[in-house]
Amino acid sequence: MSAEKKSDDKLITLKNITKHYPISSGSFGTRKGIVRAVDGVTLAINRGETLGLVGESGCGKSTLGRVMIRLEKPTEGEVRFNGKDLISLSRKEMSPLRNKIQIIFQDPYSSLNPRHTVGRIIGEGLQIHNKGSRAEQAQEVKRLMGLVGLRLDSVTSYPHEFSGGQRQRIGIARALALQPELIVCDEPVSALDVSIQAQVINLLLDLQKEFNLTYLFISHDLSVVRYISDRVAVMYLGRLVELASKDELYENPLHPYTTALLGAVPTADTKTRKKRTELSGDVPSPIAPPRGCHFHPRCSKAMPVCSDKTPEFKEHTKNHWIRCFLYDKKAKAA
Amino acid sequence: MPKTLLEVKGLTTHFFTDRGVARAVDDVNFELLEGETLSIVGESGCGKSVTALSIMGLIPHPPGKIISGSVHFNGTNLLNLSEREMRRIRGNKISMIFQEPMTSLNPVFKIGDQIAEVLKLHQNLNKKDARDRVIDLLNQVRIPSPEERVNDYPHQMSGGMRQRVMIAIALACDPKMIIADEPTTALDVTIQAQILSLMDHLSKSTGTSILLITHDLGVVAETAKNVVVMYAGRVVEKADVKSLFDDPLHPYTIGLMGSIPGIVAKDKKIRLDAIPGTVPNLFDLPDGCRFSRRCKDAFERCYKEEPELFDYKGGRKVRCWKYEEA
Repeated sequence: MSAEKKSDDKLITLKNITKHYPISSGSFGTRKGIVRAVDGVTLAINRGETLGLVGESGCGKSTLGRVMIRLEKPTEGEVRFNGKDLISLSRKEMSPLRNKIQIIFQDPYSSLNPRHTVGRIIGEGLQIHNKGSRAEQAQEVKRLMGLVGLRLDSVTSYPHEFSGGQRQRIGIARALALQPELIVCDEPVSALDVSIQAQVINLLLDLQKEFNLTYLFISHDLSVVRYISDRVAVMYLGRLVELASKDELYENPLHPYTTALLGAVPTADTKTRKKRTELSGDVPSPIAPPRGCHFHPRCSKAMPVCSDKTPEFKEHTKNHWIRCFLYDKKAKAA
Repeated sequence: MPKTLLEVKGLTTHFFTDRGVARAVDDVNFELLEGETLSIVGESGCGKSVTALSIMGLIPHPPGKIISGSVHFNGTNLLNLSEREMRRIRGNKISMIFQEPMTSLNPVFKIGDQIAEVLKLHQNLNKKDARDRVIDLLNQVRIPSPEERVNDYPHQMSGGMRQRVMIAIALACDPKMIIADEPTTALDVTIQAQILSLMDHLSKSTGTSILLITHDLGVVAETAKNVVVMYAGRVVEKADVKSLFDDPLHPYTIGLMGSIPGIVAKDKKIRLDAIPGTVPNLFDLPDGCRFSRRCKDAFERCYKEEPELFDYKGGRKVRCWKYEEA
């Protein structure tokens, strides 16, 4: 199977990534606490696959994406891209690698400079990295615009002249300009209407096929993630709680949080109008996460050990990883 | 047979601006029965929120104006009422829940006082009775330890808790009807599930009718009994929720269902059946059917004449020439 072959070809690996933000206040910047946005995430994405990353607001999924493209430097941990350690690189050494890793943002309104023409926005990367002559760059911008389905005569237009869906196409063209290998898609369709959302998803899939792109697809929309991903990782309060192939995760979710999350999604299918296991309470603050398993105060299956020790992220069955004591025979017996 | 609570007839709301006239809502008809949950679904700019604001008499004028139509609530045409009379209905007989619970609550007042405000205004309750009722309401919307939370400010609460406070305000005077405009759009899925089941429970226990405005077909499928689909200011389809999902009629409704991952296309091997193009400009609507330029099934007549809302079997209605004979 191609999935087997793929798994040997890791494009990017994260090892024990931790990102903490100090909270300071007052003019002397007294430290009041730490936001543990990402807390020890280990993860690899294979070349050509789409890894979906889901979780609720504040779970650290966007921070993890930003660490991956080194918009943020992790507090601890290692990021290897094509075998190269990104964290130890200087700004200058990092520059040629920036081509290879790009990002598409959620909000197509605030992520495009309103004072620049579309041509300039898409071509900026080509200019910075000195790709070809001016004329060649202009040619390339047009090719990219065609690729994402923008009208070529709009090259001198400004972002405000476009609809949300078209703006997202501009963002995609910009990300493609430097022929990246990995694109972090941070909620790329969340701000769009459903009919437009489908157009953009189709475009992302077409481009992936054509250029063998690798995606980290961050989203809170579980239906979209199910559709687009090969594997899916679930994050809760800075930690991964479950990781498996898409079908395995959606059909056989093991972690109580994953089960509750999937159960909460309203399905547009009147036959399965279901009685759901409702999750009580809110996500706790990442400034003071609960002791032990972060999920235990909301978990219906919590045991005494869960409030005391942190479960490890373990491979439960082949390629199905989970962080929960329920699947740890020793802890369960104790 | 439950009685009709709200009857909207020929409602037309336009906005007069420097750029021209935006025909935001055009000849919208529907009725809401007592105890029923009716959903208006559509994408941005389809006129669903303007419809809600028109019912409540909250259209900013100028530039907005209700050109024609009637909104009968319990037999009275709300459009004929003075602002003073309308104020006695808003928050009392009809209340509203908005999308953004942070901006619809006042940040400098305690949430208990904000709920009590409605009670003092409409029911002349004294301070003590109002406080007891507030705690009772917070209990109803399942806010834990209400005696303490009464004194919280909005910023001390999470998004889900704030939306519960909004629901408590809406419920305060035992309204006949609640208009919920995207009530769960800003919330995470697990919190959305809590709020939806709370609304469902409350409408069943109090008999309050709900007009649920949303863009999310999943939310519609799980909560509504009947559905109105809007597109570019027009009602394009009306049906009970089961028929709508089992057998959508209008090409736009079919397109919406094909666009959402998981309904038709379950895996990326099956391509999403996206609707091409974008919604028309409300200042410059096309001739004929407003959906014709994006419609796969459009034929000559669609580009010239706009279809009316035809009757279809099972009490359904659809605005499409394909169903003229049906």
